[in-house]
Amino acid sequence: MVTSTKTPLLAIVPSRDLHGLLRACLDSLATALQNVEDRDTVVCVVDNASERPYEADHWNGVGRIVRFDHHQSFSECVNRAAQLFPSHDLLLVNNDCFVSPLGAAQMLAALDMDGVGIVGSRLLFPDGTMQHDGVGVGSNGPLHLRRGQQPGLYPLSSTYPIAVTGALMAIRRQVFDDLNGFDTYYPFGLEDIDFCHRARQKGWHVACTHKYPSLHLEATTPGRIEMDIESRALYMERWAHKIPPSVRNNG
Amino acid sequence: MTAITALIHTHNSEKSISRLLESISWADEIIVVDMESTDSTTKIVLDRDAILHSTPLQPWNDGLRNSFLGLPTSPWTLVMDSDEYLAVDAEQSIRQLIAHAPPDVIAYALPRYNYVLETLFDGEVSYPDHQIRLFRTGSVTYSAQHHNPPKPTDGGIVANLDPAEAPHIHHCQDVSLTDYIRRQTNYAATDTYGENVPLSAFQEEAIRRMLNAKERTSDSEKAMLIVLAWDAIIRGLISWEKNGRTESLPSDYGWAVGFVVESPADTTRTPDRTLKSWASPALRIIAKVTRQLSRILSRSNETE
Repeated sequence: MVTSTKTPLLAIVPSRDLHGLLRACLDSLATALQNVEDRDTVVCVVDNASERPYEADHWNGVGRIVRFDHHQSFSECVNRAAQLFPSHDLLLVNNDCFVSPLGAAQMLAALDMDGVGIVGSRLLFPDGTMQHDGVGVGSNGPLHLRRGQQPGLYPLSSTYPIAVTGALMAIRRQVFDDLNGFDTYYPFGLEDIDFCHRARQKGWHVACTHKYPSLHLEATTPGRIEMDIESRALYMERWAHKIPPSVRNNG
Repeated sequence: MTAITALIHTHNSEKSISRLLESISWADEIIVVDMESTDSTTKIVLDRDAILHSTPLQPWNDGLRNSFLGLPTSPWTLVMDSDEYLAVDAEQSIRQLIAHAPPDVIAYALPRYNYVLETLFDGEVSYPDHQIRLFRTGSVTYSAQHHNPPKPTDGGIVANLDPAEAPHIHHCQDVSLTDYIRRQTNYAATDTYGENVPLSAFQEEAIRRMLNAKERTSDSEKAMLIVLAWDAIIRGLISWEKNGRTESLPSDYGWAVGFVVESPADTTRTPDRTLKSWASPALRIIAKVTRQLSRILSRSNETE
């Protein structure tokens, strides 16, 4: 048996209810992780106060379920799961994200590059247009680059945007520890962009891969939009004067 | 900050004890009372720096607890079973509870999720399944029976926590159906029984559970409730014997369970003259069971 010498990987899937969606997400993740050949991997589902706890069911490929009885911020979910596996790199996966079979392997290959601390991925809507191709900053704050556009118009080589979404994000462990994880003051949303900004301040690069896009339905958790408004206000207070707009609002 | 002691009883609990200890690692003191484990339970406990006590294995967990309720040195005690755990945000909720506990509240009953045979067992008998587990140290006493709630030693209020707001106990019974039946039978055989409880009370409980089973869509839930229905019948027989067989055993005792399963609405059976030989006594039993069912249903309607 060959033992991997690379840092093991913890895939964290925060989720609340929506059992069918989570099942499909985990099936896609299990396939994607089978194609990660050089790391040991473990999947941790964070049950963010589901009305019917996930503990009751069998989940494909899941090594650990972390249960919150009361609803928590995305940051709290990620931080608590990461604490349980202190020597693992991280792969964050939203429950409404279906990972491309080769998507995780490609992201981790980018994470291995010198100076890269965070890696995102091109994400598509179900209609095939782009949901995320990196993040830029417009006059109203962060926005997804090339949102709604056809992916075929853009190159497949990796780019280095200012930030990437946490919906599907690989993080080098050293970066996560240096930054003390995600900032729990954000109710839900933009903590991922805040995290990328803080990483770049410390000299780490943020990369986005494009060759094997994954599917992202976006904001399917009930109440998500309302919490995003509060998060955006906090983000603007912290970063608006530090990160000037660099792209037009249509990305 | 008011301190809490976690008090746990174990017996061959190596599969589940690590998760429990991790979930209560924030407790100010953890005391484990082990009952002759032959697996790695005690090693796991000592590795976690918990305080380990040993005691002979006894059939009644709950009665045994009384002997160790004086060990905690904290003002509050949290009792957990070895196959349970708390959510990762339980510490905050529990510390808030005890910090704001009114002086006359001596204990809190926490809601409990029960997971059995890879399913959430959420029938009316199993959720919210309040458990009196968090109490002022020394304020409650357990009975010798299995799974009977403790009672206030010197009075005081036991507060049932609202499941929508409260921290939950998560109870994972990682057993096969065969093991579950074996355990239930053992509980029934070693439990203590009240005096002069009529057999009809056990029969009615069995019918109630079997009706509950019929409404379930999950095979696991159905199986569990069928076991519990027969458990009620078996307990009735044990109670009948222990109380000196003061009433004669009805000829139809236990039949009710079978007839609830074979609901006429679920069959397409046509009349068959060959059944005539047994049809008459069977119909009498069905009529009796129907009367019992009617009584149960009318009581249920009254309470709604």
